[in-house]
Amino acid sequence: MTLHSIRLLRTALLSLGLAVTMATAPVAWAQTTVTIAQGVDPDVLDPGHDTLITSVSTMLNIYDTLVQRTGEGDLVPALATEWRFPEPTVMEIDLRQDVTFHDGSPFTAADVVFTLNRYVREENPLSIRPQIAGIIDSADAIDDYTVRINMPTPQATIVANLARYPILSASAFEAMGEDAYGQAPVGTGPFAFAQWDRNEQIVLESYDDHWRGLADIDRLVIRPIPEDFIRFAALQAGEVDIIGNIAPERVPEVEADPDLRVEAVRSVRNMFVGMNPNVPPFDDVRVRRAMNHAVNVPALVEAILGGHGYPNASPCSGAIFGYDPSIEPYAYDPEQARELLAEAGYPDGFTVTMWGPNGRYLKDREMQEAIAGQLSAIGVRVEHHMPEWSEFIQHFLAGDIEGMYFIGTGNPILDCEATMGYRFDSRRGGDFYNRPELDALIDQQIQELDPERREEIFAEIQAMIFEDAPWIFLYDQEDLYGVNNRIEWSARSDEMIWAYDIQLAD
Amino acid sequence: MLRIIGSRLLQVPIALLGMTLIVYIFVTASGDPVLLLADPGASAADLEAMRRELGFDRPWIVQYLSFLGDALMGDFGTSFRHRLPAMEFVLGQLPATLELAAASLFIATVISIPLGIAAARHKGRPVDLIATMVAVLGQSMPVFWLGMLLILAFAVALPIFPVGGRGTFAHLVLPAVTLGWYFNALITRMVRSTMLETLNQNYVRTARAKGVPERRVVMRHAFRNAQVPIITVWGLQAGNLLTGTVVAETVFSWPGLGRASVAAVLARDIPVVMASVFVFTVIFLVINLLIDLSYYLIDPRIRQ
Repeated sequence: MTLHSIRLLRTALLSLGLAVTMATAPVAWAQTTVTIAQGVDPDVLDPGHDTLITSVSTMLNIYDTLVQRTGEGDLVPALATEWRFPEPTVMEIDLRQDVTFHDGSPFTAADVVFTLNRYVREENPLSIRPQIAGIIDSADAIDDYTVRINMPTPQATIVANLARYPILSASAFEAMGEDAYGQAPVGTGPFAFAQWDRNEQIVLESYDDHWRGLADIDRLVIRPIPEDFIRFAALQAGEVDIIGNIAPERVPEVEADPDLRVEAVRSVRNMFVGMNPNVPPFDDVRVRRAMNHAVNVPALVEAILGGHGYPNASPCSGAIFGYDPSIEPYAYDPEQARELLAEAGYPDGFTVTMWGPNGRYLKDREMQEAIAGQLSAIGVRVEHHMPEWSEFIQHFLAGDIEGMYFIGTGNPILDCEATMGYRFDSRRGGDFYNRPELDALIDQQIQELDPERREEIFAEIQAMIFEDAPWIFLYDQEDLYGVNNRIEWSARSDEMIWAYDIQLAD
Repeated sequence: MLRIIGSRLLQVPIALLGMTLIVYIFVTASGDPVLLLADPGASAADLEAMRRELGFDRPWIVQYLSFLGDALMGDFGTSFRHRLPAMEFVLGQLPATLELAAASLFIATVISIPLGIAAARHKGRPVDLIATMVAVLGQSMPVFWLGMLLILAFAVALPIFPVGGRGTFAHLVLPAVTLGWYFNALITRMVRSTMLETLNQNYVRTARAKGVPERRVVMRHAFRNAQVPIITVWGLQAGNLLTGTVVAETVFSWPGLGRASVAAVLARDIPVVMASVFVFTVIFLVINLLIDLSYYLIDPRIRQ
């Protein structure tokens, strides 16, 4: 071989090697982006102001909490590593060290103290205040990595609640000011804020120095797509990877697509028709029980939700702590319903209004109409009021409902105590139905630190509510998500999408 | 010409005053906005504190005058939901809507005018049939429905265009076609019928008798006289198009002011509602002014 040809061969081999390297390098550097579509854009990325469930889901990727709720429902240490109760109303928390915020500044007790005191403050109260008032009075720093939390009474749910207070950066907040911080948040979470084009997309980049380690995906994009149909089309076209709130009739379509699958989970969200027991005819418990006997819940779930729902005669969803599975729903028995009505003095039935939102909950319109149809069989004639959500909720919160109302209850802490607060505790608002005996049981349950004993109290509570039948008990929703098979992810019952758990399928 | 501009400018403050008053009445009449802004679990004391902070505890007329006073200084208040200055937020959403409206107008105009003229020239022949079909279809298809159809066809079944959102030129095509479709139908019909009328006029027959080439007859004589009514309708509809973007923006999740202003109404975000109304009113007034000016430029009879 001549020198010339050896040189030629060498050059050729080098070029080949370079070409191969360059061809494979882009693959190694390719960014993995996962896109989630939601119904609405957040108002601000400040948990103090925006408490909407979809906004919270986004924010929990940017911020961490002291304690974290896993997908399986367990509570595990996050920014807090250990805790103890030196007194029943005092909690001492050791904080994780070597954690940094997205701007590089260190996470310390000052941030926890600032955050919690801000959330609970009474002057210019924040939207998040109802979720922390009465649970935490104040927080103070014992040293840089130890925090003391002061509670008004012993709180059985304190650890569960800590999983829902995202921790803000005190220094960034002070430097940027409240409004700017809400547009460009700084947290310790696995994804750092990159950009926000309003009503278009929020882009988060995975944070290199996250204390749990780097996330599997590089970039998370959240797109607000208000129309169900369009969200679905985007999933089918491969433009988004996860969408929630799929209509049940779409499920076969998703399952038929080889690139897509459905993830289903029993939701914390419990749906019911409330009755105002302070106004006739619902002031008579026989009438309320009659209404329960007149509604065939399994048939409703089958026909309208395609079976994607869980009939439940308890206000506590089956996905949360405190739920008593031994409660037998009122039997579907229109005959007995008619008898009870006659006994109560309504042999010919009556006319009553039903308020409910239109387009807020899955199949809410269809449900209300179907329930009215079933009630008409026992002589109860329903007049519907189905405005859009904001008008309905104004009416509802003003207490302006004399008949029935269709609504659901979410649960951020996966503990029925939250439901008690929203619906039954007369001192915290509660809806139309309340009783001193029930308030007393609620107080007991809040302070009972033994989980087994707590469950017994909840069983008593649920029995009492079942007997009193202030609601037509309906069902727990099943949350249905459409997911692209290129990613591995399982749905959570608390309606959160935590992107750290997302991995690319091999 | 200056007289026209002058008199129009005088109308601006009156129109704005009227619009803001009417909208303010409507948007504050529908109940307590604080209930919508606060968490459902908020106590009565919390709601009261929020009311005080946002100034809702003052009498209505005081609230309106205070709003007006601040607005004159350019301060439309802070959005309740987004915690941004309301006018800044609105102006941030505006370019997307203008882009969509402009693209729709362009597509519609570029198709409708030649089509309408051709249909009038060749009345009764295939071109005329096509134009009439386009007009009827366009006016009978709801924007929402058409949008969904186009997405199913050209974004899902044949993945040529993206499903929604804004970004590249490809994102603009389907929304602009959807929104421009109705407009296109209307203008096509308008152009066709106006042209038919002018082509029947005496001076057209005279021009043909003189031996003027047909093309010049149509464009220089007939079309020029048809311009005034066409521009009138075009101007009216262009204003409609701007506010009609809300439907197209919703279907295609296009991040514009139409969608944002509707969301603000639903959430009773009063500062954003008022700022949007203000911006839309100004735009309408500007469009009207431009249309009037165009008459002046086109029709020599008006110049006298």
